[in-house]
Amino acid sequence: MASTDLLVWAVIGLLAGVWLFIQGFIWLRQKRMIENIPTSKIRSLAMGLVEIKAKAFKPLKQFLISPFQGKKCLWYKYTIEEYHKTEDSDYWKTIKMGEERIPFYVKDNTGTVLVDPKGARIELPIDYEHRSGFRREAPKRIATFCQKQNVKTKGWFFNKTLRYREYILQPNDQLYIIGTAGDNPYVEDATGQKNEDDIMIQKGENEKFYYISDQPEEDILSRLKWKVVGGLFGGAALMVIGLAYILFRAGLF
Amino acid sequence: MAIGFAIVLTVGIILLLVIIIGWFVGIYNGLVRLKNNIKKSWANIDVLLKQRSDELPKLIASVKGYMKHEKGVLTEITKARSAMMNAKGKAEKAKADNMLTGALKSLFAVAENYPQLKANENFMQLQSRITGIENELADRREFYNDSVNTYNIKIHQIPAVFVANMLGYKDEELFKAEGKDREDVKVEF
Repeated sequence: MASTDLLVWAVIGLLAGVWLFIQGFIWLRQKRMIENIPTSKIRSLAMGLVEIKAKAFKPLKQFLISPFQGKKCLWYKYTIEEYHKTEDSDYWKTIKMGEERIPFYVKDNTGTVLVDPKGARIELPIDYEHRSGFRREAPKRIATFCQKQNVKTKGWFFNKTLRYREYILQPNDQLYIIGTAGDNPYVEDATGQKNEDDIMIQKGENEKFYYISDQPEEDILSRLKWKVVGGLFGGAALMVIGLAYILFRAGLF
Repeated sequence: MAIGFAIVLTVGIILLLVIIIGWFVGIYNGLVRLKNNIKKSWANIDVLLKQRSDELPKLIASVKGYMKHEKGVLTEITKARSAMMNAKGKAEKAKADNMLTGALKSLFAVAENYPQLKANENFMQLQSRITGIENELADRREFYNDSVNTYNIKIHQIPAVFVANMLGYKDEELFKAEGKDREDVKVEF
């Protein structure tokens, strides 16, 4: 590798280190928040930052239809990636992505509450993946969707090598949610028959942390723990190594 | 050469210090948040205790006419309510709450013997409202105890114990249900 390349990588490493280091503290704060907030029952939700464990139930109005599988869902995200190969490496480049989120209800054994996922970080696993290529066509539904989105699935002669991924949230998915319980704008104040009718889980004005996942709390915490360690120490190490190389190239070593 | 090495070493040490200080600031903020969680969850219980106390005079008024022979039960509720209104501090309130919960259980159990009362819409509404509050109270009690438990464990763990000692944080009391209140109410016919 040319020494100019190395210098560029050192600068990138330094900047990535700064980002990782700051992110490490953000992850640490989120980890502590998840650890410190007890789980509330929907029936007795109080206003403010809350943690609930509940099943996705139904939409406030109408179900969404996922673009690739045509499944009824409450949230979806998709990506279309194109395969690229260079001399040094091969990789998938995202050429199109999108998502749609709508308010939906979740329920536990005590009640049902509305969740507006606007502004939430939603982490759900891939529900569907398909690859099209030389002798493999994309399913009709995906091909039609791509056409609507102006994504070309064919090159000059053959199909492009594309990867289609879809993430969806469906009724009955068990969810872990940490967000702010605030007024439900879809009902008049204090007109709900039950306490939870007047509440909607949303992104808070003061507390911005809003997270939805289908993972158990223990798994989320364990993943965050490694992210914190990696972010703080990995970030610091990247900064030090990047800086050392830059100084070395500047003749200060 | 020496300058470069000195700069890298200084930056390395500063980063390490930032991690250590940041870690401790996080612990400090975490403990403050936990303490506030307890205060908030207690306040959320207090609101429901007040709501329940406010419903009691209406409940007593609605059953008085039907349950002339159950003076004991009604007196218990009135006593428990005054104990609740005069209670100061968490321990006293928890005690009064346990008393009131027990008295209400007895009242609703005895009410089963009065079909006319069971047919009274006003009574049924009040019963359902109070039972709803009782259920919410049970959840919030559990939430409060979880908050206290998390806090009590945290302030004894290393390294949070050092920060907790510095702040003078002590164990918080759980909201306990007395043994008597966990028992089923015996109804004699």
